[in-house]
Amino acid sequence: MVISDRQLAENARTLLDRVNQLFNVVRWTSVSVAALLIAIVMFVSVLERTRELGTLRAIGAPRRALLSLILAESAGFAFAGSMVGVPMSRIVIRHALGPDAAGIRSREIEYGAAAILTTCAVIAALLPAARAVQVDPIIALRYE
Amino acid sequence: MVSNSREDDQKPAPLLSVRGLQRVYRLGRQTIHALHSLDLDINQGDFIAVAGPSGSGKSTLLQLLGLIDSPTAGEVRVRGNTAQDLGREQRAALRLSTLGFVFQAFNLLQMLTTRQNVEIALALAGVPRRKRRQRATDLLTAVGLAERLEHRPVELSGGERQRVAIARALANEPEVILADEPTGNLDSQTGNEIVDLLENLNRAGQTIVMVTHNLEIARRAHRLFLMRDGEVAEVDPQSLDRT
Repeated sequence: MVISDRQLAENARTLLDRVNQLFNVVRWTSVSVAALLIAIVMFVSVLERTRELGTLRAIGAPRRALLSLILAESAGFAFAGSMVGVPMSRIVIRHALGPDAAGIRSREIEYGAAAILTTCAVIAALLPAARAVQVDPIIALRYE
Repeated sequence: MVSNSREDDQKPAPLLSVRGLQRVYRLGRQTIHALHSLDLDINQGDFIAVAGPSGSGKSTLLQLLGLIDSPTAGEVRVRGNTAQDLGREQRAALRLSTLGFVFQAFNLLQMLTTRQNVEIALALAGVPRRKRRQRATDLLTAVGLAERLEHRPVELSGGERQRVAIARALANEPEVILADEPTGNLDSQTGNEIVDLLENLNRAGQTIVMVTHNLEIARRAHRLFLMRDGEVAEVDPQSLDRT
């Protein structure tokens, strides 16, 4: 069986497309898992700090302030994670690809990944933040 | 009784007043009358104790005075303005500007330092960073914690934590401090020191309402309200010595 150059190129393109699709699935799965983890961490954090949030409400904190607090914390976690994750990804790429690594590393991709993660973290924290602003200030006056 | 004399007209409105205040809780089919039609006025410079046994309605009254809860009937007035018509956020703003809270369990934010715990009340009120840092330092110095500015609550004794809570309550120069069992978590000597501090603040003009079940502490106030089964009666604090 003879395969023409065109056919060979077509096959190679199809293969690359599939690999790209696979990487896309892995990429978005990673982002979704990270967002889910952040949402869980923030939800637990809100539950653990119900009394503190109630105290803030009791002394007069507007709901807007609590909302900002939770979202800023979440964005802070994601930013800190990116600061650790980006250098780690460079190390992994360097070890996996050796001298070719420099050719595929891109600051745009790194910054883009950090921005996507931070945005996802803020979105993931919306539900815990909504829970935080509903905290009843009476909780602050309960003695346990 | 009609009271429209010139003298009454010139009399300043009480800082806080409640009229016909009732609070009913419904738990399933059970109805609990926590407060029965209370009337009372809190004037500028008062040092008031609200005392009574557990379940008498003291904390409910404090929650209503502090605009944290809403009455079933009756009204709470702040400087003559009824608070019932305000939304949740407006009441929060009024709490921030007018009321200072001291809690039995101190309720300090564990992640923050002593100074930051005071600063947070100022930050919520929009005070600029440098100014709030200075004010927090001044307040903590005034309550005897100048050496503890950078400590976290876990590193402080109970009395010191309550002093931080009092400094936080004073941060925005509130018209009234509402203290819920401020000595309830302290030994008697430290509790007396906290009441000494509240007395000193009152001498400087600060209005204080303190809920307590401890009659020894309660009789140090200038006005005393005794509560039982949701009803209140004002008595002479010194009469406690005779009973």
